[in-house]
Amino acid sequence: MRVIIVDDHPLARAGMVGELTRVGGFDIVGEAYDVDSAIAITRELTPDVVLLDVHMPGGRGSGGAEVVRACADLYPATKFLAISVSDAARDVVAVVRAGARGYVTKDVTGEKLADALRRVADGDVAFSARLAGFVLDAFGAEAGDVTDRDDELDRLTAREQEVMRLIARGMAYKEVASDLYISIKTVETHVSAVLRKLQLSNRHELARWAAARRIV
Amino acid sequence: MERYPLRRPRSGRIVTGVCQGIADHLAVNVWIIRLIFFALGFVRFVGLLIYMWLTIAVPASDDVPDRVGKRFSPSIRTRLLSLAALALLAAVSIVIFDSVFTVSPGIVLSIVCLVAGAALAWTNIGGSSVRVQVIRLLSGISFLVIGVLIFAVRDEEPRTMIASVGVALSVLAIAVLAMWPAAARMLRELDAARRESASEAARADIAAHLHDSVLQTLTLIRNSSANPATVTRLARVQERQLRTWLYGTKGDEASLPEAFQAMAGEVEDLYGVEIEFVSVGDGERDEHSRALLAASREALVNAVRHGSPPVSVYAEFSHDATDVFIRDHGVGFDVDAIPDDRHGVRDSILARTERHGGTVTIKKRSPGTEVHIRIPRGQS
Repeated sequence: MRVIIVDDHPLARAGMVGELTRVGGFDIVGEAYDVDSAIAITRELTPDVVLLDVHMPGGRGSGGAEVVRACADLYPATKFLAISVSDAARDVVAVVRAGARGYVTKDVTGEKLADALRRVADGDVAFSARLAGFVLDAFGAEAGDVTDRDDELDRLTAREQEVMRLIARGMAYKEVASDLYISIKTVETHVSAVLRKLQLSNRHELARWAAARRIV
Repeated sequence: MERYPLRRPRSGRIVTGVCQGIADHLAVNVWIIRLIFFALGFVRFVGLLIYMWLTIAVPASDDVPDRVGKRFSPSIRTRLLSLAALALLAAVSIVIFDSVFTVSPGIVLSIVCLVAGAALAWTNIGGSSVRVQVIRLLSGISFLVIGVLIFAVRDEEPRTMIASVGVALSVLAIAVLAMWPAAARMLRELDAARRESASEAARADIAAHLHDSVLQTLTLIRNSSANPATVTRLARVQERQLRTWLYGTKGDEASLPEAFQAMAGEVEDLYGVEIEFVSVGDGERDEHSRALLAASREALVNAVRHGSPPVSVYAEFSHDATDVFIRDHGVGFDVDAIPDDRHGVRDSILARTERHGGTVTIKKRSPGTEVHIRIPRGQS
């Protein structure tokens, strides 16, 4: 798998390169350290996944989210996985709404990172427990089934909520599938649907939640 | 013994609590003070004027001084009745004394204006913006001026009175207009200076905090660089502290999610094992919160000591219940196989939760164990 690593900290970059080399199976074709160089090298090399830090200098100041938006037309050939020290709601939701297909924090192990990268490359979503927590918070953890087509984007279905809850409890997709007696593929479908809602929903709950936390 | 400060207490007042306040301050019987004011009231209303001035000038207070015995605290009804009686007495005495000295409407109007002006100009409700305060001050001064003028021309005809008042107000208005630009500029400079000093204070605050916490920890880390376990622990502690400081809410009363986060942090620091904490929703503390926190803490400590990492806590706060899931990836244990003399899980977690109307479910997962503690809200 061809990967580009983007981070403005040289030590962090070296760390990620080291871990991925140790785990194996990844071809690190490039590195970048700010928004402009990240956009340039991504468009030039079109890797399978870009591992992207959220906070970076350059461009117009929005960091990782800006890179994702600028390369949105490269999807689905190139996908983005966000990584950051911060797990503040503001950062996570912003970069996911820009189009990132997942989010991991920097204290993740090499194996977990590799797993997340593979998920994203396969077209699925790398959902961390914390991201699931944010989603539940943003969409409201109490909801019923969606009956009205208009509200489809606004709320999670009961099933999607259950999946999110199990992920927030720290379970891997396999455990979620066995707990709910569904297949792993179904779990991935639900997770993708939730990601789509997070990215597209602009109304009611999400907007209010975002405004309360001053997220764009 | 220190003298209790002069305040107008809410308890023990009949009208506005001036007499009670003076009595507390001087440590004499309140009825003596009331008698003095009553007597002074007859001397050309001096008592009444002093009373009104003290009402404006002395702040009200909810406190009750320690050394006071049982107070005479009349009910609202009694207070209103006595107020009515006093008003009646005042009216009667005005009529009686009308023959002794005339109380023209001019004097009454003048006094009303003076009191209103003084009230506006001298009382301050803290926290209102500069603009509002300026308006209050100006209107207070206007009323005072009008009051004095009316007193000066009280014996003239109404038309002359109105003309004089009109002239004086115009003079006042022109003076204010002339001073306005200078005053506005001074106010702006004052505001800018205040804002700048606030941001300076904030910057100094940040610098102090960073110096105390982050720099210290970094030094410690550098010194312990040979010991990776210590380094990790120090880094984790500092990371959490900085996160809380940056993203946490300010306030002394920790909400329930924050209390949970703090508890997870404590356990993390104590045992040196990383704990991932995810929380959804918000909730206020209620009568079950302490038990919930204690039971969760116990389960978490078990997970850390007897289980294996990664250890995670997921807490969901909704308005009808709180659910806490504590997960570890160790070998797991069998609840029924716990010997009777080990009290941990049984008493500390199970019994405590059930006493508060909640449930505990321990599920074996592969790998590890998940403990689910659920306590509904609003149950006894």
